Amino acid sequence: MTFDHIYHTHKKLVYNLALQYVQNTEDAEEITQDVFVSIHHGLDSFNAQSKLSTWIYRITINRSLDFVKAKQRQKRFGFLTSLFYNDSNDVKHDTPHFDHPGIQLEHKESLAALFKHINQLPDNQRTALILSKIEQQSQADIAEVMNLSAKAVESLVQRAKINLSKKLNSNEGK
Amino acid sequence: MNNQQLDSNLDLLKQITKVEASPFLITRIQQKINNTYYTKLSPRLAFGLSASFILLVVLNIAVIAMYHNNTKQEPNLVQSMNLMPHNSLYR
Repeated sequence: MTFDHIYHTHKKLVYNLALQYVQNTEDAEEITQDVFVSIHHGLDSFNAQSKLSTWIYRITINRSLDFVKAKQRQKRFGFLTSLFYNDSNDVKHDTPHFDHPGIQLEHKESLAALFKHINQLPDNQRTALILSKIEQQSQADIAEVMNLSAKAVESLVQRAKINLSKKLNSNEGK
Repeated sequence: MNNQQLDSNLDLLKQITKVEASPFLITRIQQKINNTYYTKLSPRLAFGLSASFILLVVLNIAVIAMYHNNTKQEPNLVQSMNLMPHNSLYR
């Protein structure tokens, strides 16, 4: 199987999954590039016992979570530097903006609010929720990607829903 | 917020459509792959290079230390053998 073939059959999967984590095209494209570079380097060592798409899902999830963490670190660092260098009006560390091309305009506001809370969930709950509710993967497939049992995935989705409900409730109270 | 409201909120996520990535993405990926070929340093090579550098530094330190020890012993040797430490015979 050639790299070009893998790219053309999986580019949509990788790009859209990355979009669900970062919700903007620029960052999703950066993650997609990193994922395919990793795939290119790891293709020789790919263990054919697991499905190719499962392997690609795993790489994309890990890269997306790493990217989000790096952005958060950058944001914290930006806050610290702004304390010491407040003489310039330039924006040194830009904040991520919501620019999800897969969302229709009429749902943009409500989904932006929902994603704001999804982004605060723990990594595994967030991944389980994204795979089940947006990617609409079966529980068995999610279990394979996350290397968990189907029951564990079900419990993660339930906990994610409980946490989301709490966050949305506290937001309504404000 | 009850479960029904949350479910209807989460159902909105199903409305998200799949989009196509930029057609120029493959060019950027290929460029990145080519760049990493030039900058890629295998862990074995990196270990070998750093080990040989450390060995070189240790050898240099050892040689300098030995040289210093030898120069300290030199006057003792001259005295113990009753040698003249200069070339002038008529001093």
